[in-house]
This record gives sequence, structure tokens and C-alpha cells, in this order.
Amino acid sequence: MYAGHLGFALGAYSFRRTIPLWLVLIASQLPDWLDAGMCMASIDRGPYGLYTHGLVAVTIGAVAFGVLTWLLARDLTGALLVAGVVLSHYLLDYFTGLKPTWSGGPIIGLYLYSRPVADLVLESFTVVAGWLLYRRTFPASVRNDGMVYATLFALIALQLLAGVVLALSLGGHIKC
Amino acid sequence: MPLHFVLGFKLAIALVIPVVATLVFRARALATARTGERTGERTGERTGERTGERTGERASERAPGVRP
Repeated sequence: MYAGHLGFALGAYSFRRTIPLWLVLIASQLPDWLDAGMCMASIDRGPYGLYTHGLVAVTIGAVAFGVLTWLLARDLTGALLVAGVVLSHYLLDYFTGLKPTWSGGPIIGLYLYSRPVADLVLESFTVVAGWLLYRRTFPASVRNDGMVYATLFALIALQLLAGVVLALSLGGHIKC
Repeated sequence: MPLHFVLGFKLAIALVIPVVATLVFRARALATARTGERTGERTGERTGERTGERTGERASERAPGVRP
């Protein structure tokens, strides 16, 4: 999942506005950031990305980001929310991809990447739902401002672009 | 296609651009809201001043010995 993670993050942020938005956004993509970073550093990411997308790895990431949030904001509820956002990455990826569980464990997932339209529908639904919650964080005077709507359209457009270009030009879903 | 080009492309589209765009859009929308608040405050102040002046004028008309 791509933009759907950010949609989920926006929705989560609406419940705790005291924590930095950038932190929630990065938290939602944490396994992907780790995956890309390890790939660029030529570090083994394990079978099916076990070391970045496995249950243990995601849980460790959730704890780490929860602690980081608590250090930055001194907000336990916010820290738990950010940790939950990291864990949500696994759940959302379950729908779209094939993900490892633990070492020697099964590979699970509905793999909607093989059905791009269904993937786009799910990602868009997640983005719209999260955006509707996020929109409430703005003063009433700007909730219908173009900039607020631009967030929604930009995320869906990027999802479309990522899906189409990566599928057609680059020969499928490329993680690394 | 070189691995790092593919990775950079993916990084930009899937990770960096959405995060930066979201933060920029939020900052600009909040700036618009603050500008609106300040404009509203100034308009309210001017309206209040004019209303006060008119109220004073009417009061002075009713009581000619008292200037607004």
C-alpha cells in the first residue's frame, strides 16, 4: 500500500493534534522507509522483507516510534497512537501485498496488487476516510479551501501515478 | 534500469513527495485561516468604531447639550 498509509496517518492525527503531523506521516510509512534505506545500503532485508515488514520488525518499529513520540511530546496517548499507526502498516499491507510473519512463518496477504482496480479502490477509500477526519482539524473557515482539498487530490493522484507507472513502465510492483 | 534510479523514483513518489506535499498544503491552509482571522478582526474593529460613532451621534441628537 502507498497513499493509503498516509490517509490512515491523517485520520489518526485528527484524534491527537498535539503530536507533530510529520511524525505520524513517517510512522505510517516506517517499514517502507526502512526497506528503502536498507536497499540503498545494500543490507539484506530478509525473505519477503522479513527484517522490515515482518511482525517482529514492525512491532519493534512501533515501540521505537512510540518512545520517540513520548520523548518529543511527553504525551503517552499520543505515543500509543503513533505506535498504533506503525502497526497499522502491517494490517494495511496485508490487504494489498504478501507479507512475512516471522522467521520460518507463513507469508500472508490478499495481494490486491494483482488486481490494480481493487487496490486503487481500497487505497482511495482509506485516503478519503482519513482525509475526512483530518479535514476536521482545520478551522471551519478553511475546511473548503483549495489547499485542504489539494491534499486529498494529491494523494489520490500520486497513488494513481505510482500504480500506473510502476505497473506499466517498470514491470510490476518493485520494492527495491 | 539502474536499481538506484528505480529506488529513487519509488522513494520520491511513494514516500517523500506525499509527506512534503501534505505538510506544505497544511501550512498554507493554516496561513490562509490566520489571514482570514486577522482580516475579520480588523473589519470587526472598524465596524464597531462606526457603530459606536453613529450611536454617539444619535445620542447627541436626542440630547443636544451632549456632544458625542
